[in-house]
Amino acid sequence: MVGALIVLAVIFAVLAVLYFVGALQIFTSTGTGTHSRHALVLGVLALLSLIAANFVRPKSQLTS
Amino acid sequence: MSFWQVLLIALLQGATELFPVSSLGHAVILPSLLHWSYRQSDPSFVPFLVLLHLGTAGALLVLYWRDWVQIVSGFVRASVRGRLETEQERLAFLLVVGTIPTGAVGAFAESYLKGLFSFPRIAAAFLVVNGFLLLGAELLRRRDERRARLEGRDRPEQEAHYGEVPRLSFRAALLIGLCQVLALFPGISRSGVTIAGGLLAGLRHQEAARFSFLLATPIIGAAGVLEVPSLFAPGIPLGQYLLGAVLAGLAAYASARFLVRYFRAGRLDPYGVYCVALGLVALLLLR
Repeated sequence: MVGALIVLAVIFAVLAVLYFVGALQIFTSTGTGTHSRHALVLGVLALLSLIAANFVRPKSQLTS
Repeated sequence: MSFWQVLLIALLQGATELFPVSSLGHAVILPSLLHWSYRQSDPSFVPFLVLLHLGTAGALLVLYWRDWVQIVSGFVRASVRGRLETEQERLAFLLVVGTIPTGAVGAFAESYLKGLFSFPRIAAAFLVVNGFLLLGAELLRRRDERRARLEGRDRPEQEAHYGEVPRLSFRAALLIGLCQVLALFPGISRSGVTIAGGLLAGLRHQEAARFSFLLATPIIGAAGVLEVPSLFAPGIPLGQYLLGAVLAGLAAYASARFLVRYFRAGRLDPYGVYCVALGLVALLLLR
């Protein structure tokens, strides 16, 4: 599960970069140029995926 | 738009944004009903509306600033720790889960949705749909009250049977978030569908309204901030629009305070009837 969420985060991050540099134009209104809004949303999704991975990772139990 | 048109739309938007009657629907329908000369498809119209929403988001931040301090700090703490320990941390993540669907759909379907602003008849039709959604949610709530043998009791006693926001499940928060996606269509009320979603998830009316208002803030605020650069395009009367945003914020603050009190015992029915009636009248007049 942790691995899947990290992979998802990487995919979102890559898509964010592609939208930001204007290499990806799917679901955009202009068809050319940079799409910072799409990049921002995908960046946030990448961050949230990493946070989710942090939630599901096994935690070490400290005993005193 | 003239100065007075800007002020009237701002007041209308601020006053209706948090009422479950679709402020966007009103802002699209009213100018057509009054035969105002400007077009909603004008490039300056959406930045204007978004700036008004920014005023509304500011009002909600002021109203719930104590909650937001705890929500933001709770989000950071829980994210680093990887575990939820307090009610505020849980609330923060409920809001994140509820915000994701609208954020994603709003960003990627924006160009298509903006096109709908040019069609007041579509907004009027969605306003009718919004009214039936509100009435349907109350119908289901009444049925649930009958099942729980709450009919005949006074409203505060009926409401006490239902839950508060921290008890909301993440699945229910996602459902409410998906309801919020519908509000991207002009005529569907964001607060209406999220309050209705909250009722279906078993929240009290007042708690459903509170969750709806908290859920509104990041979406409305982010949409506003992202549109800020478009406000500096040539030909946009920024001073008038900013004054409009302040007016919208003041009206939103007053209406939020009213609604929080109203939903202690009030229901969505009057707003549902109003939306159906206004939508039908607008459909008849906007031929």
